[in-house]
Amino acid sequence: MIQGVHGARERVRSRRGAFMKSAGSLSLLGLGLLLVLYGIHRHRLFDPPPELSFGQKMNPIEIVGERGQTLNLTAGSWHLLISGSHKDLQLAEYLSRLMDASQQGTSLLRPFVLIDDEHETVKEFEFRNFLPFPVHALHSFEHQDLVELGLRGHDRAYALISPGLEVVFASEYLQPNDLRLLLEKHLRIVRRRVSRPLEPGDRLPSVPLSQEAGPVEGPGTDGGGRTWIVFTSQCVTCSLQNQMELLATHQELLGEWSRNRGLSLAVVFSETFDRPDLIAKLDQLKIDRVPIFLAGGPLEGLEDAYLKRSLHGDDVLMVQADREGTVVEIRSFRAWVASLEIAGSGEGVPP
Amino acid sequence: MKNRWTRGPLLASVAVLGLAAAPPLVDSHSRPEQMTSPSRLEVRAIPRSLSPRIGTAWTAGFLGDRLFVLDSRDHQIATQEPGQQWSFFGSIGNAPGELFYPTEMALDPETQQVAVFDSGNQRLQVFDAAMQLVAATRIAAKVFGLSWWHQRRLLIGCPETGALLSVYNPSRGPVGAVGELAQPSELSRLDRGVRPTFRTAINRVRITSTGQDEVWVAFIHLPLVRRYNAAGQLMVERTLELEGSEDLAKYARAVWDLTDRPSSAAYLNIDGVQLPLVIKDITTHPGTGEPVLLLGNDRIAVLGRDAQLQVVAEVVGCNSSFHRMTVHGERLILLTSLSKGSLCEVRMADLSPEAPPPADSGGSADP
Repeated sequence: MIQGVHGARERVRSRRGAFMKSAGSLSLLGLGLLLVLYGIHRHRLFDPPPELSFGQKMNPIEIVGERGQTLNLTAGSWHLLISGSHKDLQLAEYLSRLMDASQQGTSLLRPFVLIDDEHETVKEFEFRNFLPFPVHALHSFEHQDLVELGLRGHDRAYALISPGLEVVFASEYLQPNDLRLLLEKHLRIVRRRVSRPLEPGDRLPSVPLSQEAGPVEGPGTDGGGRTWIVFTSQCVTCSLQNQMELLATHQELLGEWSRNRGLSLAVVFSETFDRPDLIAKLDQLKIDRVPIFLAGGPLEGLEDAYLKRSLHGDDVLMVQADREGTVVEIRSFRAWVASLEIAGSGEGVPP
Repeated sequence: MKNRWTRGPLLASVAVLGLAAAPPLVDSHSRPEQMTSPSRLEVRAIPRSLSPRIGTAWTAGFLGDRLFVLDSRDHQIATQEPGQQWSFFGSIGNAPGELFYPTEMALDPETQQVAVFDSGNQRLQVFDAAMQLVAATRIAAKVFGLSWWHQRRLLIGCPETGALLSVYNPSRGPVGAVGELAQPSELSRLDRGVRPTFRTAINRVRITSTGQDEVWVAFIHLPLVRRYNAAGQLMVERTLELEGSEDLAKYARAVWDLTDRPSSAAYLNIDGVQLPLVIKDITTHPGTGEPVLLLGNDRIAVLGRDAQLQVVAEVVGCNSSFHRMTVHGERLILLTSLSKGSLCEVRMADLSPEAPPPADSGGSADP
């Protein structure tokens, strides 16, 4: 009996221990469950990847950002959704150029540009480039709202949505030329005018220039002729990578060649170059022997701002002008440098 | 100029690769032959041979005399009959028949069908002679190389699948595979050898049909060419002799040793794997069915009398380097990487290993 009572006490103690253990486990389980539910609520952990695909019908939606900015998807307008990185600011800049250069078709277009960058950075870009549409920092909107809009599935997303709120094009990448083709196709935008390629005998285009680097001087203030190295809008990225290295390597040679002919040398970059990127590259490559200018408008006759192309084939050009600003010669910068190298090595006749 | 190191890791690894991959019937040569400096061959621009509406002549081919140009930049196919105006098919978009960065095109002379790999939409589309869409199938992988094969099937270079070439029925999708991936032993000693992206990257190819149900396959990042028969068996494997071609040797070496990059090399960067182009394109000689290679340094290589691949000419002119080519009759048409409104051409007869230097060539020159 004593054994029995002792045994019963042991069983009770054991049951109490088991109960305490299971209660602890249950508490932990409950806590975990709460955390998971919070995660589901906060981040929609088990949402399927948002679809923003061709042919998809969208619902009208309005989302409001933390600074009160709104994105409104409503029937009756074309909507262009751009959600990307800092690099897509260039796409936004080109879009504004297209809207400016097109004669018709863009009045119904409402672009939504969301950039994965700091609010201050994108707003500064918007202000500096006089963009006719707002650019927002991606993270200034609630994740859930972006999912609703179909913009949080991939790092980059681009979509053109018709006035009937149907996705007529969706992709995870988009180049400026693609943007032009899409708008020409669906919105039937038409460019305002086509400038004629500059030829010898023509006057240099009148463009406001701001000096960004190099020895300080005003363009053309020396009174003599000038050799311009012109970085057009054709391929800004290629130019920053390759042709600027060519310039850096040969800036001494080019300066000497020009001085020997009584010409001054200057470099002008198309307005499509991003100023901070350009200055960083100039510093990195130590391009400091020649005055460097940034154009404040399209380089008429040298580049086609609408098509983002050079009018003379190559993306970087050598343009030689006399003291009156009349064009004497236009040629590929790369070919010009190559001819100077050959001349310098004694294998050919200086051009 | 001799490059002693080319006899080192590169050729050794390629030789090992050839032996490992070759079934008994394979006619595999890796003996380096004597090289002479290739002659310079002036390439002639064909005036106004491209429309200004073509953004980039990415690749081109002929069905009879009808020229087809795949314009990857502007997402369209441009065609022209001799003496006629250009016609344009396709435009940017996701819908059936539309294109978004088309990168490969194959033309079937028998059925007059045009197969296009539409990379941005991850699909293969087949059009008839009137450019009406007749079939489409999804390919969710990167494709390098596309060619019609026998029984109206297509061979597609898609190494991500684990085989060198995938066999596709245009309507039904994948129906088989051909060839083994190249797995150079050198790679196993390097970190990148274990990276799947690198293993698939070095198996990017170009494919050309011999017209007899066989295909030649050129590895664009390796000095390696194979021929497969209609049953998908490996019949021939050739390694490209690198002696006497300094730039090309550097290109090939850079596949293994990225610290020794020639500045003039053309590179492809896919999935973060940047590799130099050893072979840019391959086509077949219309008379012999033998391969004609466009190398990374704009040299042309063909099969010589001793059945070895030989560099026979350095193509110069047209103000640019070349990236693809096609044959039309006795002409080899070259496409420049920059569209300047024209295609360029040389005579096939000038590319024979035994051919005397053409009258207008710049003569022999060291590479």
